[in-house]
This record gives sequence, C-alpha cells and structure tokens, in this order.
Amino acid sequence: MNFKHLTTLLFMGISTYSAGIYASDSENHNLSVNGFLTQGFFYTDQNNLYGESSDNGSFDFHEIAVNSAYRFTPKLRGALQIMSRQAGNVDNGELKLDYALLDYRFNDSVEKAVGVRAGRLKIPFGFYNETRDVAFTRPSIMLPQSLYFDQARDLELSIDGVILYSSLEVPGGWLDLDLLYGSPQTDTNVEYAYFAFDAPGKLNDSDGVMGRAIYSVDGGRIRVGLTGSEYRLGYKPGNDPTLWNELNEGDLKLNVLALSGQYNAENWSLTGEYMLHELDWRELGGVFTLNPVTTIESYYLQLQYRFNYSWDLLLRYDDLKLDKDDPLGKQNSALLNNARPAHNFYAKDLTLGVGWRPAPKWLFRAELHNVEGTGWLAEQDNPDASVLRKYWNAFSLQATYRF
Amino acid sequence: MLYIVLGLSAGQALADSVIVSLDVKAQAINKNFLLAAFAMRITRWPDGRPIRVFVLPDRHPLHQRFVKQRLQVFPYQLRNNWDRQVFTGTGAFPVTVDNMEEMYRMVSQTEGSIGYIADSVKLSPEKVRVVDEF
Repeated sequence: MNFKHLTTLLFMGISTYSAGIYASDSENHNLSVNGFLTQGFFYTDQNNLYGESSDNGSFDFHEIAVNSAYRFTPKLRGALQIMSRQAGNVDNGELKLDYALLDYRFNDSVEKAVGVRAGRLKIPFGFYNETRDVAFTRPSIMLPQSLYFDQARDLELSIDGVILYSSLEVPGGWLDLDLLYGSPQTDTNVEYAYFAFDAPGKLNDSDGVMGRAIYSVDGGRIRVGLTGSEYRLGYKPGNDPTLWNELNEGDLKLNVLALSGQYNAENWSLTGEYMLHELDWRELGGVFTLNPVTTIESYYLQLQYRFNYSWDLLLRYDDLKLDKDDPLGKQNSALLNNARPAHNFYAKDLTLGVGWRPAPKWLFRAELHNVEGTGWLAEQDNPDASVLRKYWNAFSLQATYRF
Repeated sequence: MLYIVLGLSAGQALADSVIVSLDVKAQAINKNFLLAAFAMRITRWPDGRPIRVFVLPDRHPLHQRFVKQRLQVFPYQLRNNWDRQVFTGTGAFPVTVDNMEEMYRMVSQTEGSIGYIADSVKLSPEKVRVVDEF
C-alpha cells in the first residue's frame, strides 16, 4: 500500500469538501477552521540557534498553520493542516502538509472508544511530540531538545500510515492507546541528525511501528505514559562509491523507548520524561564501523507554575547524552580524530521561562537557556563543529496569535 | 416537569446545573461521561447522535467553578486537551458562548447539545432540561 498517494488524495478531497461547505454555511457545527502564527527571536552569546543568532540575534523563526476539520457523519471525520515553518537553515518556510487524515470511530462510549485514522498523521510520541510546533501547547519556546530534538524533526513530525486508537475506562481513570504503522518522512535533515552530514545517497523506503499508552488518573491529575517504536530507514548509496562519506546499501535501525510522567495541581505541574534511543548503523558500514551501535539517553524534569490565567513560570533541566556509555563524549571525539569536539556529544540545558496571555488569542514567552555542551545544536546552522563553544547561553522571545 | 423547576431552585448544594437540549434522552449522566464529553474525548450520545458541547470562555467565573466542582479537573487541563486534539486533527473545540443567556439560547436551539448554567438563571422546561449526575 502506498501511503503517499493516499495522503494526497485525502488532502484534495477534504480541502475541496471543506471549502465548499465553508462558503455555503459558516454556522455549520460540523466544520471548523483554526490556525496560528508564531514569530520567534533568538540571541546566543556563542554558537547558532535558528539562524545566525550569535551576531545580532535572529528573527529567522516562524510557524504558521491553518487547519480544517469536517464531520461527515457521526462516526467519520476528516482533518488537515497546512504549515509553514522557518527555522534557521533547518526549515526553509515552504508550505507543507502537516497532517491530512480520515478518522472513523467504531465505538464511542466512556467505557470504550475505539477508532482508526489513516493518512498523514502526527506521531504520538511522549507528551508533546504531536503538537511540538503549536506554541500554545508547548510549556516553553523550545521543547526539551534532548527528547524533541529539532534536527530530526521530519522523521518525528508526521508519518503516512494508519493508527488504531482507543480510550478505555480502567480502575482509577482511563487509558489512551495508540498503535501506529507507516512510512516516516526522511529528508536531508534526518541525514544530518543521524549521520551528522548530508550523505551522497538517499534515505528512502522506510517504515516504522510505534505504540503509546497513557494512563490518566483522577481526571488527569496524574498521567503516566510509555512509548515504544521501531523504525527502519533504508539507505541507497549515490553514484560515486569512492566518496569519503559514502555508506553501504542497508537499513539504519532506530529503536525508541520513552517513559513519561506528569502531576497536575491547580497552580503547578511537574513533568518528566526519560528516553533511550538506540541507533544501529551496522548495515551501513562506512564511518559508522567505528561505533556501529549507540544508545542516546535523554531526560528532563520540568516545573511549571501558574500565578493566574495570564502568567506562568517554567524551570527545567534537560540532559542529553548522544552515547550513554560515553557521557562526556571523549571516546566518540577521539574515534573521529577530534573532528567533532567532545562537547558535541552531550548537552545540559537549564531553562528559565515566563509566559504571558494578555487575551485568550495571544501568548508571549521569554526564555533563558544556560547550556553546557552542543549535542543538539543543528549542524545546518553550525557547519563547522570545531568552532563550537562548550558553554553558551541563549535568550529567546516568542509571540503567538491563534484563530 | 414541574419537579425539575422546583428541584432546581432547591438544589443549593450544587451551584450549577448541567443542561441538555430536549431531544437528549438521558435523564441522568454519569460523572465520567460528563468529563469525557466536556473534554471532547467522546463525541456521541449513547444513541449514536453527535454531542454538541457549549462552554463559557476559559476566564468566565462560572466556567472555572463548573470545571473544578463538577468535572473535578482544572480549566487549563481542559484547554490543553482541546488544543492537543484540534491541532493534531483528532478532535474539535467545544463551541464557546459569551454569556449565560447565549448558553441558554444555544443549548435550547441545538440538537444533541449539552452545556451548564448557574442556578440563578430561571429555566423554562419547554426549552432545556436539567440532568442529574450519578
């Protein structure tokens, strides 16, 4: 089954249908149109974040999206979202189809809601992945980069495939389950993230399965989640096998296991997530024969405090080790003859942020990051790893309007 | 129908009432159903017809009181749920009305609707029905 064609068909079908309905009946309860605009500003004292932030700061960051949903029948819905994201040299702002899906819900009771979604789907990973680009669903301007690193975002963003979902009443609360199969999007950014360079060949013919369970206790006061996934990204070499960075034809295998936990009180929320992410390059050989299997270890701990509806504070510690057996990156750096400094293999980020909602449609945020290590900085914005600085700070601002 | 009106004015213990349109068959609603419906996690009545949910703005004192006392969650949790569903294409927002008069009018005029209203508002049993919770 070719999921790519399915997504295109869905996009055309749903958008034509919605546009027709919208024009004829704007009071229709079955149709909705929503969206948002976000503009960011980033200033860093060293290294680059979303553009050339270390010079005079960078406004090279925006997120704009419009979505529409239509309820065809009580059981069948369709939804799609178009998005433009500019983020330094990682994302160039071109319009992308973020999701386009049909959702059929067989069963819809409190005890058991079960359905299936097909098309281009947001990936249900952890607490934040599905809405990572939606500013007012994020606790901060940047999500904790150890788990939600922006570099491999295309792989993590959406997938063309099917999800079987359910929400079940269980003792103490309810259990949300998602089981996903599909073909992830693999573009050059994914090569940067997992190879640290743009390889001569292409990643294509990929597939993955993912499962997520979230147990919500006492109306969601306590939420505990478990996500597991297995991806296989097929690599096809380019035309010149003598290039230094060429790899064998084969599969890069990615396995992810993440644990999530959250406690929600009236004025504060405590959230933590822990992830193990195994990368298996054995079939690709090339430069990866030096370290054919590695495990990334990530976690963060985050406290949000809400003074009232308008103001909130955020404090977070976020920790990434690109090789959990080499927490200071020294062995990995030595393997590459110090082409990448040791601090390029980890990052410890202490974040302090403040959010302000002057009106329901507006959200402003400011944030300070004090970082040791450069493990999640984008190669695209920092092409020469040798000039990266181990200790750096970032200041960022964000304005969002929703409609 | 008179007992509903009487019951309403006497029901001081619960500050607010859940109201539904007259075509909704349920006489009483389970607390878990109420939360799932207002969180937009379930979308159909037991008879299979769509649930149309009406709420007051996030900052409205009645909304805050209703969500905390009757749904026993915090308004920000509901808002997070709605946003997450809408921006992943997996669900919808409830319809936000500006005030209680509009809430009363919309629930009375929309099939399959559910909303809430302060006990101080005088209700006509020919327009909306108050449902009990169990």
